[in-house]
Amino acid sequence: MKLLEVKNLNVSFMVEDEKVHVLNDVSLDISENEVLAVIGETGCGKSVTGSSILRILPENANISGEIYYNGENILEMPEEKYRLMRGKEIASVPQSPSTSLDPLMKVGDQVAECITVGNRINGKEKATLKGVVNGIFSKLKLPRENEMYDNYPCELSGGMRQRILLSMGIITSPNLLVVDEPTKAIDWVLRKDIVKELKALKDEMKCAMLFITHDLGAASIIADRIAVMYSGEIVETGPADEVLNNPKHPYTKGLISAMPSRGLNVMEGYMPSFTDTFDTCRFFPRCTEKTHMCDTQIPKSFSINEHHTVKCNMYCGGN
Amino acid sequence: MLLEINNLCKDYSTGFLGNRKIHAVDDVSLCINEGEMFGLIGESGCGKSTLTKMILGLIKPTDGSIKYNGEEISNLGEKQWLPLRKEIQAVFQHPQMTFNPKKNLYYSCAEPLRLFDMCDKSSEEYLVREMTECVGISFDQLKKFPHEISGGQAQRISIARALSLNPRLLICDEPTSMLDVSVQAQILRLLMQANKEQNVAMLFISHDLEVVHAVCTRVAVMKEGKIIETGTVDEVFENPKEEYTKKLLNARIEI
Repeated sequence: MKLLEVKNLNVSFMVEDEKVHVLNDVSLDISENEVLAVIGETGCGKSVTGSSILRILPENANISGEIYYNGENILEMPEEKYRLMRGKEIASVPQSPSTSLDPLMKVGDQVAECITVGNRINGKEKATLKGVVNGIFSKLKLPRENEMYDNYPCELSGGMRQRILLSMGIITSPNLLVVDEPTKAIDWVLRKDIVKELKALKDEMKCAMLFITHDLGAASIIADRIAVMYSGEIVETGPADEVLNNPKHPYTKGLISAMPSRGLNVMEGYMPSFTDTFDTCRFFPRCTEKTHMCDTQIPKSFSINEHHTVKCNMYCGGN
Repeated sequence: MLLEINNLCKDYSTGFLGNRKIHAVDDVSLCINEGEMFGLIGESGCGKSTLTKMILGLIKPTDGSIKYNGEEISNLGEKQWLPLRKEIQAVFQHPQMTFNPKKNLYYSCAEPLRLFDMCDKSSEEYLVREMTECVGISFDQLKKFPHEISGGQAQRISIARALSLNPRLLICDEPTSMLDVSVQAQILRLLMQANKEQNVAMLFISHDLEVVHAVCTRVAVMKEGKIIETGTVDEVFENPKEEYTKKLLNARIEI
């Protein structure tokens, strides 16, 4: 059985009495101890997917579809029950480290809070807890590990704050970790280290991960499988090296060849707005490989092989 | 030689009573030739932005000289700077913050033309239309306000605005670090095209070595306020001399 299975997830938001359809039939799954990277441009719906799994979407969101975690549909679970799971079994590392931490609380206490969840603890327990937190800090190679506990967020750099958030995510040793853009605020020199640390931690704790990123390099290091998202749809899913080295969907090809090391080729046009309606493939206006079918047909998902699926009319005959 | 920097220093005082000195930029010398793409790499906090601010005359250096076209510009007053502003333009990391949030984008695009009396009222609209269309922004978009457009669009408009004055030196301070790969490719192509067609020299600051490798011809590596290595891109990337440059090169992720 899969650890997480998302089936036909549709999410729309009511914005000023207008329905904005953001996620369209998103299906994905994650096995135990597996990292699925979701890649795509800003505003393609990656973070909304993560938030729906964590059930932290705002109130104007309209969700339909099914999300199974260990066989249970978490969208139908009562809030009380899900709250006990969130943070413990399904943890998250949010985006923007500068705004996700409490500015008036010591970072160590914030990390420890994930375990105590507001329970009062005595001095002895506090000392052991501090040891646990410091242990995590040293694993993430935070400098001055013994003093780090007493720092406030404003005293730390962006990369350090990002690692504090990571330690909040992993301290409860969750089964599933939703990581949103962990390399965005981090300096180029540190980026590779952080991703490698994350990978090592994942192997050690045996947790599965939903790794949301637009950084193809980071995804190539950590991911077992990659799902490519475009305009609220998943257009290609497959094993990481297969997707990166032998992409099938024209959008994936374009994305990879836009990288400086792969030729810096420009994809013409821009992602459509979510308020548009679609009667063709969403990538149709920008596609360089369109065929006569693309005018009339919205593509379905086709399997290239057992693990690799593509949503493009080019592969309708099986390939 | 278009820009020549010799032994430039900038100290900041911090600490109680301001008696602790921090050497943000320490004895930096470099030169940029006409029409050249010059890259400057280094990690955050190494003094790259302080250096650009001094070239733009926003802060005064503690010591050293900056020569533009053979003339010393580090000690110019604000009035004397005005004609030079037309020749030295900049593109910054957070494009949305460089626009006036209370005015629409058309106003921001037309402002430099008005300031330098480059056109009369009737041809202004035509010029603005032309300059935004060459960066792929339709004229209707300019009715919007800065917060209503995406980062990539804002960056393209800010490049168009900088190039509208036909500058001879463009300072790009991490122009693509906040953008996606696909948008990054568009922006970099745009800059390379401007360099080719208008012969604009560029000081291209980035911490992303892949980008510098793809765009620049010469490159300098900066560490803790000092320039530790300079050379052509091929020299530095193929055969780095300093340990630190090797470390930077090791941090790149090959896929």
